[in-house]
Amino acid sequence: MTYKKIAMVSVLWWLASVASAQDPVAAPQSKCNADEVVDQAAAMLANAVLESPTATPPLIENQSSPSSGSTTSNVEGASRTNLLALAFDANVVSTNSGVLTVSLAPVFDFIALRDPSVVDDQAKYRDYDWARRLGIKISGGGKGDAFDRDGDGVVDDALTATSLSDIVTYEVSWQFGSHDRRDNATFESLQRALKSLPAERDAAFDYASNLLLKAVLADRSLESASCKDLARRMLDNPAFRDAVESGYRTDRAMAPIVDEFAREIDNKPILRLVAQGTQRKAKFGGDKQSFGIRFSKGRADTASGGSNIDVQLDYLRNELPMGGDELEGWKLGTKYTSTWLRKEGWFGDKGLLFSAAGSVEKYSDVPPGQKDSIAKLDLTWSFSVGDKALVPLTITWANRTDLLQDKKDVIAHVGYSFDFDAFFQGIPH
Amino acid sequence: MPSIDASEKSDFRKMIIDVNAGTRMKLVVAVAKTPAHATINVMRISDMSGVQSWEISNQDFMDSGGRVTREITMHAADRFQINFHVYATGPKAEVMFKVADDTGTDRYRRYGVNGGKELFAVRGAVGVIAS
Repeated sequence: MTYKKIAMVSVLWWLASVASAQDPVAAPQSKCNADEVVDQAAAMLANAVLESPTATPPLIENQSSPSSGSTTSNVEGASRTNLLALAFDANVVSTNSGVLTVSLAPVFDFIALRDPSVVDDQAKYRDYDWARRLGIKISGGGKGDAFDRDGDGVVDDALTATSLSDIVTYEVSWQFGSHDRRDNATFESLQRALKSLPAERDAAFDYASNLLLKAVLADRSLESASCKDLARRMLDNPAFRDAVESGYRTDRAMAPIVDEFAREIDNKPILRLVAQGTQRKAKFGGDKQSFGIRFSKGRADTASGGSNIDVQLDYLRNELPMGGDELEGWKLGTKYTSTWLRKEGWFGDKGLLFSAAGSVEKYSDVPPGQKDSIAKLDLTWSFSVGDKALVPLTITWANRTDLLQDKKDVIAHVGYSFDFDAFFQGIPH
Repeated sequence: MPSIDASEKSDFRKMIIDVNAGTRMKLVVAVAKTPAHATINVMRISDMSGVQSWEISNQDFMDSGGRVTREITMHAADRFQINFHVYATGPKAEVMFKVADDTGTDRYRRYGVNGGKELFAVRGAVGVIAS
C-alpha cells in the first residue's frame, strides 16, 4: 500500500469517526436517572453525616461439596458439585484413566444443556426442581480387582477393561434440602423476614425522587446537570435530605436481616440418598451394590470462610469373584472441612483449606487370609494458587499399607501425597 | 422468557418524558433467573397522591413468563411520576423496567444484574408530562 493510499484511508476513517460522534438523530441525554441522583445523595449523606457505608458483602457460600477429582478424601458430602458449567461446555461425558463417565448430576444440568430457557425462566426453573434433586452417573471401563483368578493360591494383578461393558458402574441419588437462592420458598421467607422495611425504604426514596422531579420540572436545564452536582444541590433542600436519610437508614436496617437470613439458608442441612452398583465380567471381580445416606451441614461465616461437616453411612454388598457367599459390610465416614488463616491473608483471599476425613469399613464372611476391616484417615491442607488452582497436601493413615499405594512415600502405615496438577492447568505445553 | 437481551442494558437517561395527551404509556417489568416481587406506583407529581398502583407478585411473573405489562393513558396537563421497585434474589438475577409510548418507542429504561447481593433491588423514578 502506498503512502497516499494510507493517508486517504486514514482521512476517511477520521471523517467516519467524526460523523458517527455527531449523529444528528441522537437525542440529547440526561446525565443520570432520578434514582441515581438519590443514590448519590444517600452516598454523600453516608460519608458526611451518617456512618461510613459498608461494602456489599459477598454471597455467603456454603462449602459443602463432595470430594471429587484428584483429591484424596475418602468421604463424600451430601450436596453435589454443580456441573452446570460443565454441562454448558458440553462436557457431560468425560474420560479419566480409561473410564468413560456420563454424569447427569444433577439431571437439571443436562436438561439445561438441551433447553437453556429452564435456567432463564423462573417458572420452568421451579418446575424442574426434581431435576436438581436427582443425579445419575454411569461409568464404563477402568480396572478390576486383584484376586486369584487361576486358583493357584497367588493373587493375580488386576485386569484393565478393554470394552466399556466389561465394568459398568452406576449411581442414582436424590437430594433433600437446598441452599439455592432461586428457590421460591427461600425468596418468600426472605420477604416475610424483612416485613415492611422494603416498603418503608421505597416510600422514602419515592418522596425524594418526587422532590427532585419537581425541581427538574421547574428548571429543565437541571436535567443535563451531572449526577453529583444535582445530588449536592438537592441536599440543600431539608425535605429531600430527610427523605434520603430515612431511606438510607431503612436500607441499612435491612442489611443484617438479609445477612442473618443468608446464614440460616447456608446452615441448613442437606441429605442425599445414594444407590451405587458395579457390574463386571467375572475376570474383573465380583459385582458390587451399595445403598447409602450422605449428610452435610455447613456453618457459613463470611469473614473466616466457615466450616462444613459431612457424614456418610453405606451398606455394601460385594459378590466374591470366585463364587461363594456374598460379602456384606458397612462403611461409616465423616469429613470436617474448615478454612484457616483467611483473615491473615497468608494464603490469599481463600485462606488455607483444611480437611480431616476418616472412614471405617467392616465386612462379614470374608475369605480366609483377608482382613475384614478397612480404616483410613486423611488430613489435607489445600492452598490456592491463582484463581482456580488448588494444591492439596495430604497425610494418610491406613490400617493396611496396600491402601497407600498411590502415595509418594509410605512410612509404617502413614503416607503423604501432593497434587500439583491444578497448578499446571492452563500452562501451554 | 429468554434472558433479557443485551441491547436492553443501556439506560435511557431521562428524568422527565414529554408526551402528547392521549398517549398510552406501556410499563413493562421483566425478570429472568430469579423469583421477584415488584411494585409500580403512578403518582401525581404535585402532591404525590396515588393515581394507580400495581403490586406484581412472584406468581404473576411466573404465569406471564417473566414479563408483566401495565398501561396508563395520559391526558392533557397530566403530570405523573412513575416509581417502580423490583426485589429479587439469585446470583445472576436480571431485572428490567421500561416505559414505552404507544408507538412502541422506549422512553425510559432501567436494567440491573445481580452482582452478588443476597437481596437484589432495582428501582427507578421518571416523570411523565402530557400537553
